[in-house]
Amino acid sequence: MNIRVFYSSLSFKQKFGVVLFTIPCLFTFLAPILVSGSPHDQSLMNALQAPSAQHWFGTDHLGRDMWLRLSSALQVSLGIALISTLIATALGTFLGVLSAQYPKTADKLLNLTANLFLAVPGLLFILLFATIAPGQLWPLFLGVALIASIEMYRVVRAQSMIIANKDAIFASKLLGFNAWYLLRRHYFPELRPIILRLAAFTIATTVLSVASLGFINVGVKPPRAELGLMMIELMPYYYEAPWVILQPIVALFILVLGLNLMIGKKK
Amino acid sequence: MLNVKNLSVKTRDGNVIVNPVSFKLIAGEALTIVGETGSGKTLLAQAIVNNLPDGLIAEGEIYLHGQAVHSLSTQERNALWGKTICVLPQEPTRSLDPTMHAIRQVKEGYQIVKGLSASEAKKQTLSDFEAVQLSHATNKYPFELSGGMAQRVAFLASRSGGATFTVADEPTKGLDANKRDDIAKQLRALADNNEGVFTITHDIYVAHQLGGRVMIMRKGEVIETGDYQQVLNKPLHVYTQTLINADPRRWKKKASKDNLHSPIVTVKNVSKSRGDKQLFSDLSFSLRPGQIIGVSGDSGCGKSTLGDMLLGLLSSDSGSIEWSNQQSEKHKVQKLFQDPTDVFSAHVTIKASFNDLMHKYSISEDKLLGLLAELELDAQLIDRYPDQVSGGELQRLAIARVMLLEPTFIFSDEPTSRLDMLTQKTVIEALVNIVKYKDVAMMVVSHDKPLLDNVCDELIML
Amino acid sequence: MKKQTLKTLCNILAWRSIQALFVALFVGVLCFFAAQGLGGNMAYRIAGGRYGIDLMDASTADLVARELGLDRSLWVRLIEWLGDSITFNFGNSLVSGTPVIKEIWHTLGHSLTLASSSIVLSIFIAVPLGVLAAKAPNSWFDKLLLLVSVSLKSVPNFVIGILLVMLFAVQLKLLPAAGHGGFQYLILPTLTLALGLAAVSVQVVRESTLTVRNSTYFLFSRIKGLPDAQSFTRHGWRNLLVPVVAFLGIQFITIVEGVVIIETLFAWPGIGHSLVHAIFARDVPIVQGAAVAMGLIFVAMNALVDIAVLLLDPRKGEHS
Repeated sequence: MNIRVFYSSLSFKQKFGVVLFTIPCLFTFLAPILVSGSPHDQSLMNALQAPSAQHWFGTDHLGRDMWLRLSSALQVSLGIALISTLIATALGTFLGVLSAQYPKTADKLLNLTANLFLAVPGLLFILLFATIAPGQLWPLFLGVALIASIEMYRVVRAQSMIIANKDAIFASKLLGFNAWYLLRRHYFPELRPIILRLAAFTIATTVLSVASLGFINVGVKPPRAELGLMMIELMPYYYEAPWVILQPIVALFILVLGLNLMIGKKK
Repeated sequence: MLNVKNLSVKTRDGNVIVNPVSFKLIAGEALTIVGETGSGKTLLAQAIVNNLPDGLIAEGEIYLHGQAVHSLSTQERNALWGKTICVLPQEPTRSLDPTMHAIRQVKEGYQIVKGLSASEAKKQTLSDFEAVQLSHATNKYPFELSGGMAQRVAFLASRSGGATFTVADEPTKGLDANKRDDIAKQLRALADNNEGVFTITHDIYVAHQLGGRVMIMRKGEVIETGDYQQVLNKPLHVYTQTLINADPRRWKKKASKDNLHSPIVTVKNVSKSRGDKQLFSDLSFSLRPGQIIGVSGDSGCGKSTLGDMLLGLLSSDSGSIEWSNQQSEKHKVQKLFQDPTDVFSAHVTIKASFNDLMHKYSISEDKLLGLLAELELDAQLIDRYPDQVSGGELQRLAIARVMLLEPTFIFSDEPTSRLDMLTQKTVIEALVNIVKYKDVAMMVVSHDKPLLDNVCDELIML
Repeated sequence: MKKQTLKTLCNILAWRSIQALFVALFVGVLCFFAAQGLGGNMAYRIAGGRYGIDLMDASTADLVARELGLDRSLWVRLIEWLGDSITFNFGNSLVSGTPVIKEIWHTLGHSLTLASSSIVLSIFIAVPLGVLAAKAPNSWFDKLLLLVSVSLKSVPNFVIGILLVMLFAVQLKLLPAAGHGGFQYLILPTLTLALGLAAVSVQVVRESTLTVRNSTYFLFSRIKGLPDAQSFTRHGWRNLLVPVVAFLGIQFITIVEGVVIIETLFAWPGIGHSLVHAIFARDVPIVQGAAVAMGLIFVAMNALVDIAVLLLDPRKGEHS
């Protein structure tokens, strides 16, 4: 699995997507290193300042440095998105392949559970969890990870069932190879592109969901920096200082657009 | 009816795929083009019909009913479809709209293409359906029709425009003997009715049944052309002779020796049904090392099921299958599959797949090289990926892999149905040789009865 | 109706009923624990709602607690709560005191208006554009459409809303920014939701149309002699719509989620708006009522989609 070979197999659009996605990622981690201070330091005197030498991205309505606030917000979004996607990928893949290997036992139970959970739109899940523990981050996390896991499970299951019926599987079984070999040689290589695409999609969806939740003030409370929360906080000031509200919007757009381009087209 | 002068097919950059060819077809005549994959025969037909794939263009003159078709615009040429040129579909079931009743798919041809009134079109369609014993199927959806019924509906639909020049591209692909004969008769009837029939096929037997004239093609060139009896019985060209010899009917039957081994497996009174269909009942036979037993029958009759039962993948409803002292070594029973492209993992080289096996059972590389040599395979082939190797070579590689384990029994499920005639001969010869040499018992499933008659010591008909 | 189709229909209805039951139970359980979190708070607020905040004190709250049986064991209360949930007995709002059912009913109509106009608008946008794009794949139009779709997909729906408000309400002063009243208040929320939906469905329509255009049966229709336009009318539309209608089921998720967010942005007095406010006020009965209502409607819509697909595609009746 050569990274270079993989990268060169991507289309131009996909490569562009990777670049786009990397920009906010790098910013997220490098930004606090390059500038000192805290995203919560208020200074009402310096409110809504345009980008300057002191504040590279300007300040918000409470005088807080936008450079730092933006990177903090991206940390929240990316952090939740990446961890949830990781959990979802591991869990969903494992259960999906399991379902395909044991269609008469494990599958019946898992598939039924997954389909039942499909009855509730994801956002409702999260909102219900948030009602139990308002203002905390874990309902967000739990809800997002749960939805992502179910989606990954269904996709991996569907694809694994197709693979399970291929002649190559029967041939390998007859030759005496065990389940681990089948996974290594047949399932994973075949599943890998699909899982990667779905993972990128999941990260994108999660980032958007977190922003939406921040927008309605669920899961994240001020003064925490979060993209959606920042947008609604800055909305009243868009006329006098448009560059401020544009920042979280543009940051979110580049991040998710990059992911969407990376996904590419089905062959 | 059809007059073709110097017709060639090229890529847009100028690479010639089909060299200039000229021929005529008169009314009441059948012209059959015979060739293997890559001979260009399909492209030739597509050039005449005007549905070449993107990136390919045709050059030359084509006259249909005296009209210079080659100088018409694309739109004008496409307007000939249905009215002047009839193209029979290669896959009848897939050619029918899955959400539309059968009768409407024929009726719309009469109404829109031929221009009849709605009631006239309906009348004509109903009488058509009656003529082919499909009156009960008028309001059925395609998925409710059997393969044969769908073929008849598609046939009627393509003829509804009233064209008298018919192009049939591989009309008998993948069909068993009975269906193949039906279609050949259908086409022959068209010619007898003073229409022009232009057929493309790789099956020499179909060419025989159609009569008329035959054109042999190979790699974009016409090798030989003439009256079918002359070309197919006394060909002038070596290649034609090779093609003819590749027909299982022509294969020389090898003298069979008495088999003195004791049976490795005895099947007693075995029955199996699938759903409410009884596949077979009370079947008994035994297999000895080095013996080849054939199983033939129409599709869906349980041939594959029988083999899978012997492999231990399925169990019988009644009766018994007794193996002599081979029970514990599961991997001594092996299978060859119909589609060799799907048998090796597509993501690694063939060599990697072989290494997996040799590593697991501690088999030496010499053994592999020996097998490859016996199967007349270039050892360097295994460095490639499965999709870089031809079907015939891939099937032989599958044979090599199976033979590495020194199996006692091989179940070959239609091992050559997807292959060309020439390739088929090579593969079957290689398979039979190695099986007889190593005293492996084999069961072969095929819809090609002449092949089984030649190759097998015993035959089971289901 | 064919016997097999009828059987499939019964299967659909049975399955969706099970899902509906699950929704009521699942929401019920979570809301029960949310209510536990409020604890004595809940009794306090109910008492406050009943008697007025000024006229009550801790002992009144205790009385209410005992009256409502809040001092019994957890399991008993859970079972009772779930029973109420299934019979739609949600009690009264902790904020206003009015019966939950009444409040939900009131707001439901507004949400349904918004949701249905959004779906309809999105279909009117997505279907023609998608079909046109498929007619000339990889043309400038197709590529432009793809660019617009991907861009719209890369922002949350409320950002689209904000941008529309900035353009039409603030800059051009053509439409109101929020609220409810005449038809003009419906335009921006509907447009926002519809654009988000169409951005995704237009590609589904395009793919579906391309599949149909490249299918063996479509090509056979052409070669039979039918011109492109008539082939498309007779064999194209019906077949391309099947996956599109099925996809609508998935889009309902977006609609339900979108309704919550967009109603909040535009202060549209629908069920999503109620839900969000209720979460803040920790008005658990309203949360439960709203969530169950939305969940059940979601299941019902999915059931309708299943039935529509069954009617459109005769094959579905055979093996589901």
